[in-house]
Amino acid sequence: MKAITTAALASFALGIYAAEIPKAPVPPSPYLPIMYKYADAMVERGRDTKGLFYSALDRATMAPLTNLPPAPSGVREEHRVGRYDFALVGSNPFHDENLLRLLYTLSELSGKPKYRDAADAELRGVQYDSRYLPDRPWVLLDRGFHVAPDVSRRRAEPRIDDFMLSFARDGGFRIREWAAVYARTNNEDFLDALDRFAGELVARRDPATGMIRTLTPEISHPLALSGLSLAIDCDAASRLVPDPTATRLRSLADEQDRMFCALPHDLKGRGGFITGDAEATGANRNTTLWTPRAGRYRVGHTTAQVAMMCVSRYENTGNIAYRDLIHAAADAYLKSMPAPDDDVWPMTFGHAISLQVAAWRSTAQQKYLDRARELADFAMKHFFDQGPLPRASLKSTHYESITGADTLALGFVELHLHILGITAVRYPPNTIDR
Amino acid sequence: MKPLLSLVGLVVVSAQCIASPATNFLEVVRRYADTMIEQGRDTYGPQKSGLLLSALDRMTLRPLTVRPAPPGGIRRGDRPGRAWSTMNGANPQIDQNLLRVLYTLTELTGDSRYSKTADEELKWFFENTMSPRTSLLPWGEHMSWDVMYDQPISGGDEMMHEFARPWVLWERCFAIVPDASTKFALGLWEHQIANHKTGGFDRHAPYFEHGPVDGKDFARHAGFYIGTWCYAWKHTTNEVYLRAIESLLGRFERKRVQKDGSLAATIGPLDCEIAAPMVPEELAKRLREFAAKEDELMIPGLRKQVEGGTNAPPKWESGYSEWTLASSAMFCLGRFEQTGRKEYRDLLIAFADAYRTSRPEEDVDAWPMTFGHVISAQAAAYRLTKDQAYLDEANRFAKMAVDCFWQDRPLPRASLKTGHYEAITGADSLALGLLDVHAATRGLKNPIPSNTIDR
Repeated sequence: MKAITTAALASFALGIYAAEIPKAPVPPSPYLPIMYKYADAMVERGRDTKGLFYSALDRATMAPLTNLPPAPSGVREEHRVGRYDFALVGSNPFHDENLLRLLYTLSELSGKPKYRDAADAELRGVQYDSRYLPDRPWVLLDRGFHVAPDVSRRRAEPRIDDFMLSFARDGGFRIREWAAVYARTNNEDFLDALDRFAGELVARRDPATGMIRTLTPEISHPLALSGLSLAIDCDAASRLVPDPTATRLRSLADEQDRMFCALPHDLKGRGGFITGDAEATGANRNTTLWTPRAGRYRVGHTTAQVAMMCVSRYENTGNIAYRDLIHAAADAYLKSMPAPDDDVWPMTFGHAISLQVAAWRSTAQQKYLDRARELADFAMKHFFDQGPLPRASLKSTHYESITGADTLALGFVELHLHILGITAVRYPPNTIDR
Repeated sequence: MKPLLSLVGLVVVSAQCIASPATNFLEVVRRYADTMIEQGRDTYGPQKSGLLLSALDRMTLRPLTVRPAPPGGIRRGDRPGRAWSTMNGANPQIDQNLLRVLYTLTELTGDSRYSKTADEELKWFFENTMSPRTSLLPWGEHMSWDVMYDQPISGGDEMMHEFARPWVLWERCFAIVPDASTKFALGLWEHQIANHKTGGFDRHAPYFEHGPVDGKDFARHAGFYIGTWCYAWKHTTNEVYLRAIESLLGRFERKRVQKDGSLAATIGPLDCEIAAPMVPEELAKRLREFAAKEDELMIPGLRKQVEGGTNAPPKWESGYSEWTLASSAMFCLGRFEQTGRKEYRDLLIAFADAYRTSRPEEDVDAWPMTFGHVISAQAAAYRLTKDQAYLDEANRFAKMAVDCFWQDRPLPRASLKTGHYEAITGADSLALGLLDVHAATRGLKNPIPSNTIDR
């Protein structure tokens, strides 16, 4: 009887209250249209006759630059495209790697093949400079094999100087590529190269700190961050190769995880990750929030950039030490904005946005999603203030992809998909800037 | 506090998701169940229904105050909460394996509170949430019961009844809520089926009012309906249920014939085989023949999957209508258990082999459900072959899953990239998988429910 009464009450409730539940509005997301404009501009006006993307452009005319604009803060002249005594004209697929990933994602989202076709054209036409040491791993090898297998294979072939790569980070990039080629071809040469190089890295490990020494100790290098990057690539590679190589790579990744997570990172107090070996450098160096410390050979890392490496490790391992670091790093950006004089890169905003989104995924705390929006709104206003292309930095006026306009674009897409709860199209992880 | 600390003691988190060999999977599952019973039931709003919430904040063990980031592949409208709003729904259909886990825990531990909780869920839900006009329930793919507002809700814009999985708890439902179960079965016939003559149905039937549209059917749903009506016939002998089964069976006997005369699989064999022993012999024979023909049509495709054909599903990435190799393995297990056919045994073992030493691909937002299926596939392969390597793999995957999904909390997270609890990605199927390993490792004779309902 009680059940019937309760059922009757519920039936009554179904009729009475159905209209009273407040409806929430669809949340606004202005970020994707900006990305389509950026992509359209690059596809339609930002390519040379071979279909390669210009890595620098005049934002006002949408044409190749005819001069050499001042480099954004922290960018070394020799790392820029083109001849540094002439105009800033050239194409570097590593600088545009996230742009290519953006284009593939936009084709999936829009159903329009033109973005994917443009990215494929770049993969077909690109000439890799084997002497160039990028700041990113090449994660488009699978697609490259699909559209231009010979180019991709040639690019990945082991070279003698690979085994003399000084920094663990760069070694990790090659390990990733060799594993990808092996998975595609079963060519044992790549497996042998991978084994040999992994062994050399293990031999260079400092037994006390776990950090992998450089071959050029005279050059200051962020060994801890290099090891973290290596962990990402070794773990990725281990999923593509058979045992015992896979186990060896996983062990290497595990060791670097332990090394990095054991460091006394003071994100709450100093807002930074420790970058290297305190004993070797005499002091703990920390990452900074907005403008990385420039080194002699390369620019340093921001906290958000390193935090995105932690995101990669956390989301691929579930290791809660990384989870705690991600949350602490996201907290450090909750209130901070660049100082008026800071010449901040779009890349840094891209990382900061993706970091907040990662913290949102992990904690389900609204403050992180709200903060991601605030950072994206600032970036939209200050980088995309004139035309469809973003400026190279807050103090630059031209477009130059070396400072991570494409990384900012990925941050926008990731945020957009999270705001609208879209999962049919997966966002590319914003974790390749190392 | 003490139970939580003991769980933390069990789950050693390493950098590569490999737990201490001492992980006690029964304890992990039991702690999950205990937490859901103690902190995951509806004590909110005017009606304290006791329903298990289908999503929770894993850190506070309280209802979510937001609509959290979706796990990869989960559609907006399928989540247990109102569109664009907080997620506070209870959906027994996506918690079905959790209910099966609760019944099993009572058998394994002798503690009756687990089965009592499951019974209370079924009783309250069936007696209090049914649409007065259609007798459909607010569960399944799009609907749930909002525990704050005490109302049926939809994750999308429309209040549509659609099965998410087959409902395999009918025997229990007819035992404890016979009248409501009968009403639902009749409502399914009257309000989900648009054309009783042709069997044309709408997989999306309006919950509040009659209104199914002909021609919007997905074949597998016919199996879910047949799997409902067979129990209704068994418990009521009302012939309307036989007519309902005949109507849909006839529809797909016709629909399996393609325009060029070739045949294609439709409903699949599992639900037809379940129904056969319950109905009169003539219909039973027809159901069995239909199932056998489905086998004939499906096995070549399954073989291609195992061989890595171009249309083979991924190993780890799940999503809406995106099955994995492991879910195919679970289909083979289900069918092997029904028929003992060697083809299915061999396929199941081949699927288990395909996962040997595997880990999710880089950056894939893997679901607990997939791990559950992989674990159950390895455990089943062990049961069939007695090859220790399969049990070792089952243990390896189980440890990896505990570390990756449970981490330092009593509830598993919804996916590798999210941090909240949300049953839609199959935490419950993973729990069943863990019980499978527990039973296989200890040689227990207690039957663990087959992990074969995610389809």
